[in-house]
Amino acid sequence: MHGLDPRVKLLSLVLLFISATVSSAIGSGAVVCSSLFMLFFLSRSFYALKKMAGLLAMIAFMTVILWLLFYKGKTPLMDLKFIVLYEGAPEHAVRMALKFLNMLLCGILFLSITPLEEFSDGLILMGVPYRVAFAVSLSFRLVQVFVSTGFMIVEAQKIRGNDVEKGGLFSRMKAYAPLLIPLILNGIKKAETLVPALESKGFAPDNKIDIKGKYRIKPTDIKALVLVALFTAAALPGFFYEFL
Amino acid sequence: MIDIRNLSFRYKETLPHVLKNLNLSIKPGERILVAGKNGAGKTTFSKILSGLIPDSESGILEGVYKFNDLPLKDLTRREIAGNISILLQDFETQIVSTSVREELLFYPLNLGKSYPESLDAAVETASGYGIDALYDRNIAELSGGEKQKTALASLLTAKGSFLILDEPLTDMDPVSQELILKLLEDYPGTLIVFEQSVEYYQYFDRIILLKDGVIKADSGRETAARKSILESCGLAAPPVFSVTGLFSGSIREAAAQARDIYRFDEVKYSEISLAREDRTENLIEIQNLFYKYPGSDQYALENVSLDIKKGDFITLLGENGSGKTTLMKLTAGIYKDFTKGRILYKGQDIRKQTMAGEITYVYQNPDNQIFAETVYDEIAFALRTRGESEETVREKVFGVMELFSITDKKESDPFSLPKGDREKIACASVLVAGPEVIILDEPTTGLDTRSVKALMEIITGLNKRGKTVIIITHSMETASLYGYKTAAMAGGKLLFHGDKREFFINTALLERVKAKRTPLMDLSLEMNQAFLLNEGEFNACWKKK
Repeated sequence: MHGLDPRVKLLSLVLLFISATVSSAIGSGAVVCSSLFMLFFLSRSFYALKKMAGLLAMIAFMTVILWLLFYKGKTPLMDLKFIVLYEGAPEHAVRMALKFLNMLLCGILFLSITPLEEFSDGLILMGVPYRVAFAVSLSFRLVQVFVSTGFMIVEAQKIRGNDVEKGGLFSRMKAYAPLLIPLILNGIKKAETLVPALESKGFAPDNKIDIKGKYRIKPTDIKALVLVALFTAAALPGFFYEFL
Repeated sequence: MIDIRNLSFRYKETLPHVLKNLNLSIKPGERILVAGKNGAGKTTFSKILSGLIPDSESGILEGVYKFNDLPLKDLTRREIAGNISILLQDFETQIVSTSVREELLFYPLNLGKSYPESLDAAVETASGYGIDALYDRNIAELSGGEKQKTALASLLTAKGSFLILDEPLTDMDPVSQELILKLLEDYPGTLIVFEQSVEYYQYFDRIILLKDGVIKADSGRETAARKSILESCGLAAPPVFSVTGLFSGSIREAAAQARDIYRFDEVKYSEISLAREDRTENLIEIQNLFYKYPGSDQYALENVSLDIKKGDFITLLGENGSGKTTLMKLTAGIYKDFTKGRILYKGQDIRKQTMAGEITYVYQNPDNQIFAETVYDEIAFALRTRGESEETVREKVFGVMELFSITDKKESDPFSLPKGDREKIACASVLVAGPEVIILDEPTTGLDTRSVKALMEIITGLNKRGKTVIIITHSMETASLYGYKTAAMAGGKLLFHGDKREFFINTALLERVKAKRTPLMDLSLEMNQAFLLNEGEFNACWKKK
C-alpha cells in the first residue's frame, strides 16, 4: 500500500471518506471501521494508530456523551430535570461516534502511508497548482515540527521539576503554561526562517515544477482503486437504509 | 563575479547598522573564509550575499551589490538561487522534505530542471558527497550532523557557481568536518565560508575578518597568523601558531622549526604523564543497557556499561548518531523506557526516583529551556516550583547569577540576549537547583572562543567544588582542555571510558569513534614522541632555549 501511486492514494482517500460519511447505520459503520482496521494491519501502520489511540478514544467518548445529551427525539426516555434523554439517543450517539472515528481513521491511514512529498505530488498530478499543493503538504510538516519541538520542550522543563505528566488536571494545566512560550517562540522562529530557507532553494510562489516520470500507474494501482471503489459502492446503500 | 561598494545594512531605521560600509570584490574560483565572533554581522552578510536580504528578510540596504555586473536586485529568485547557494546557520529549518532523496530533488526541481535531470543531480551528489547510505532514509531518523550533511549536499545539487556556508561545521564530528572541507576543496566554483574561528585557514586562500559589521582585514591565508588583529576581533589564532608563534604549512614543518627553538623538560613531562585523578565513590552505575526508540527495530544503545564516580569530569565523544545524547538522556532519567539493563543512582534504580534537582541536563539549544520574561524569573523558576521561600530563591538566584556573571542582566528579557548569554542562562536555570550531576549537551556549539572559555571555566569551577560533570561534545579542543576522563561511543556502543590521555594516544580507537587529535597534540608527538594534551601541558614541558 505504501508503494501505490499518490493519485490512487488520494482518490482512495476520497472514496473511503465517502464510505465513512454515508454509513449512517451502526452495522455499516462497524463494517467500514473493521475494514479500515484491516487496511491498517495490511499496511503495517498500526504504530500510527497506537500513537493516536488516546485521542481517538477521547473523541469517540465525547461524541457519545454530547449526542446522548443533545439528541432531540420524540419520546423521552429519562427526565433528569436539567436534561432529557430521548429514545434513540444511545443508538444515534454510537452512529455519530463511529462516523467521526471512521473519518479520522481514513485520514490517519492516508497520512501513515503517504509521505508529504507524495501528497503534494499527487495534488500536482491532479492539476492543483504547485504553490497550493506545496502549502498543503508544508502545513502538515509544520505540525510535525511543532509536535517534535513540543516534546523537546516538555523534556527540558521536566529537568527543572516541571513535570506535566504528574498531578491532577488542574496542576497539569498549570504545568503546561511555561511550555507555551518556548513553543510559540520556537514556532514563530521556525515560521520566520522558513521563507528564506525555501527561497534559498529557488522556491517562488509562481514556480512550476516538472515531475513527469516520477510516478507510473501500475496494474496494482488500478486493482487497488477498483477495490476501494467497489467497497464505496457497497457502502452507499447504508446512506439510504437504516441497517445494512 | 561579486562586486560590493559602500554596502551598509540595518534591520530597522531605529536600529544601529549591522554592516558598515563594506567594499569588496569576489572573483570566480576564490576560496574565502569570513571570520568573526558572535554578533560580528556574519549571518547578515551571508544573507545579503545570497540575496535573501532584503528579498525575504526586510531591512535597509544601502550601497551597491552587483553580481556578474548586474545589480542583484534585478535578478529573479530562480536566477539568484541557480547561481548562488547558501547553507543557513540554522540548517535544520532549511530542510523542507521528509526524506534525504526528496530533499536532494527539491532544489533542482525548483530551479526548473526536469525530474530525470533532478534525479541525476541528486544521485550524483549523494554519491560524490558520501551520503549514499543516507539516500533512502527519513530526515527524522538522522542525527544533527547527518542532517547538516544532507542540507549541504542538497545545495550542491543546484550546481551553482557560488557556494556560501554559514558556520557549516558547528554540529559535526571532527572527521566529518575534515571530510567536508576536503570535499569542498573539489568544489569547482567560488566558496565563501563564514566561521567563528580561523582554525581551518589552510583550506582557504583569502581570509576576511569582520568585527562589529566592519571589515578589519582582507588578505591571504597569512591573516591567520596576525595574532593582534585576530584578538582585536575576538578570535583566537590557530592553536599551533598561538602556542609556538610558528606559522607553517604543515605540522611536520612546524615541528622541525620548533625543535630548534624549544628544549624539552623530561622531569615535568614525567610528572604530567603520570598524574592521575582517582575517584572511587560510585554515583551512577549503568549496567548492560540496551535501548530502542519506540517504533524502531534497531538498538540505539547496545550493552552499555559505565560507572560514573562522584566528582568525575567526563567528556563524552563519538561521531554523529553514535548514541551519546540517548545515553545521557537515559542517565538523567528523561527517558526511562530502556529495553534491558539498569541504571543506578546512589545505588537505587533510576526509574524509581525523581531525578529533577539531582541530575540535570542542559540542552544543546538553550531556547528550548527559556520562557520567562526576565533572567531573574527564569533562574528562579526551578526553586519556585519546589516551593522554596522568596528569600531563599533570591539568595540562590543571585549566587548563580554572580557565578555566571549575568547579575547585570537580571531584568533583561532572556530572548533578547546573545547566544552565549542564553547558554549561560539555560545552565544557570538548572544549576540553581543544586544538582549533584550536570550533563551538558554540546554547550560550546555556536559560541565564539571567548564565550566558550568563560562558560567552560565556570563548569570547571563547579567540578572543583564537587559537582559531577559530563559534557557531550564534538570539540576535540574542549575534550583536550577540560575534564580528565573521556568516554567514547560508536554505533550505540561504549568503546572507551577512562583517562583522556590514554584515549587520545590510541590511534585505532580515535579512528573507530571518528575523533582526532588536536593540531597541538600532533605537534608534540611530531617534535619528540612526547604526548601532550593541550596548551598548558605544552608550555610546561617545552621551554624556549
